[in-house]
Amino acid sequence: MDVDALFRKRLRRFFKEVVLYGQYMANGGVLMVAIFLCGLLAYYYPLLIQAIPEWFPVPVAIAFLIALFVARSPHRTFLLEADLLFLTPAETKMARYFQKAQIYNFAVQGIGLFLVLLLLLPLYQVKIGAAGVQLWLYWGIPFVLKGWNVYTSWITMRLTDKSQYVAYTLVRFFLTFLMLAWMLSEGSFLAYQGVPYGIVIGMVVLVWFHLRLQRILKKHACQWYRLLEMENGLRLRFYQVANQFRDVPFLQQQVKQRKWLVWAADLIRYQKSNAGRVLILKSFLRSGDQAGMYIRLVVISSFLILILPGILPKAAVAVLFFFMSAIQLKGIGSSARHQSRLSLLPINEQQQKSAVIWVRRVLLGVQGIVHVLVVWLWL
Amino acid sequence: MEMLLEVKEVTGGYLSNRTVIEDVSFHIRKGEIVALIGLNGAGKSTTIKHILGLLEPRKGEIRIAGKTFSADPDSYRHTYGYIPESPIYYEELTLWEHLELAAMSYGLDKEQFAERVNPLLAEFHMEAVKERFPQQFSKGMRQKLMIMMALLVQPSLYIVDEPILGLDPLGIRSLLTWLERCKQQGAGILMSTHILATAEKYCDRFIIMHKGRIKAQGTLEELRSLTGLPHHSLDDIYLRLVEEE
Repeated sequence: MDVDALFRKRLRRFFKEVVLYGQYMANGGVLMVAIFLCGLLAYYYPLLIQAIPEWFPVPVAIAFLIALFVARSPHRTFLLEADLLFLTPAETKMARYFQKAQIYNFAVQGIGLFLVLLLLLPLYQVKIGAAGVQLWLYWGIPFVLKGWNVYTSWITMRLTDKSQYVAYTLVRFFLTFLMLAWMLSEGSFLAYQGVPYGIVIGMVVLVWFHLRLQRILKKHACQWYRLLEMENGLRLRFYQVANQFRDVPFLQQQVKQRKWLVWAADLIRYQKSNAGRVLILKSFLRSGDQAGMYIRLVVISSFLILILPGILPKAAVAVLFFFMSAIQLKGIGSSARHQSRLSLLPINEQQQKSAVIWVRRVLLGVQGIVHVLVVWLWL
Repeated sequence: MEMLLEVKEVTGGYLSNRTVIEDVSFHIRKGEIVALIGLNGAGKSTTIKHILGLLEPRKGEIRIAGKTFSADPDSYRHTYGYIPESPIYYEELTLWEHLELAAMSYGLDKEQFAERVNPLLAEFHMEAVKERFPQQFSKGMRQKLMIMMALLVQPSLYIVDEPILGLDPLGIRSLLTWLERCKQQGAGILMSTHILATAEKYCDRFIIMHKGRIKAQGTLEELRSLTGLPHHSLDDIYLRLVEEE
């Protein structure tokens, strides 16, 4: 079997989807919001840099932030459910396939890392006055570490024990952070009288870590179910993002318990004519994507309203996020999602429609009330 | 005895150019359980969909308690309880919330709901899972959810599509004794099934469908005299009727 061709085929199919949904996103007003946020950032970033006090350990903080992005290395593998049946016999030949997947993951995560580095560069330059070789290191070392993280985390994916996996991930993060902090602070991190004790200890841990990895490789085989679970999770996230702009028809929705939220639906009075409202509101509150997005919008906008100076920028954010939420909430009770349900209970289409409108109004009202409360707090 | 369901010379199907059931007529009175029997593809489920008002008959008419679907869709839908063959449910609602919403949408008041819900949960051994989501249930448990939703409302007519498949033996017994009790209280029940032994034991009359038409209907005695098999079981009678062709 030609596993190289298989990987290429799957990658191509995924890219096609990315392009397709990318077009919808570009049309969906994302560009406008992105430009607005960039403008906001450009305006407040210098103020933020100036506001940082002298004693604050900027290199260590930057190292911590970058380390978060470097060490976080999820593995897309483009595996499918049926592969458990058809590809497992060829497990030993799959090494090349997975190698290609790792290269893909490195490339995609590298793009994200590049953006993070770009964002943090002014902070680093202004505060440390970095130049010359130090800048080359700034642009080089994180990518080397990214590669190392993709490689080692792939090996630890073979572990069956979840707590062991977490321990290995923490060690991975610790080593990455140590390297970055040492590099960004020009060798002064955890050093005493010119001897970098931190990095010496780090080297010892690194050697031990790699010896352990060799043992994992010998002892454990590929965890197909884990890989598939991760792949499905990552793919779902992609579709969820795409779903913000266009209904993705085959998207399987995750349902969450959310006891801390659902009580709100119990406030609706028990009454025949309210059945539709209860149904729509509970469905919304438990939905993985819609409610999650709405809550994020409310939290982010409240935060912006809290920190932005002056009433005008506050009002602008409130209005902008009001429209964003309104667009977001259009998806409630969309027909693609609730087709088979009409026949279950005698809640007719008209009742469902008016319930959807009611729920939208309530949610937008809640957002408005939260904003007013935040402004009132600030006054 | 009062007529609950009347199906008169109904012809219909999913597409207008393909007839699935033809000239189907039968009725259900208060206080009887009627079995709808037939092979796969005989037209049982299509007949049921017509009764539910999900499909529109091309010829003939269907009345529940004297009313047709088109006259008043909402009150028509409130008069029957339906237990579907493959469970339908809301992914976002727990078992308890399903029952509560069913009670709410059928217009039960809060006291009635509180009174009826716990005996039902106990009967079907579902108390322990009432806060869980049907998505995590097995097929049989989902089936029980459907059954409980219908029994909770206590409509005057039950339409039950293949209730026994996927249900455990205790569940089957609970369902059948419960339906028996509803019948004694005056409800009418239409039950489509493949399991002829169960049908013979619990049902008062039988409607045998074959290739979209009603081949025969009546009590066991009537069917016996019709086929000339005086001491035979429903199984034998059914096979004789179907194999005649």
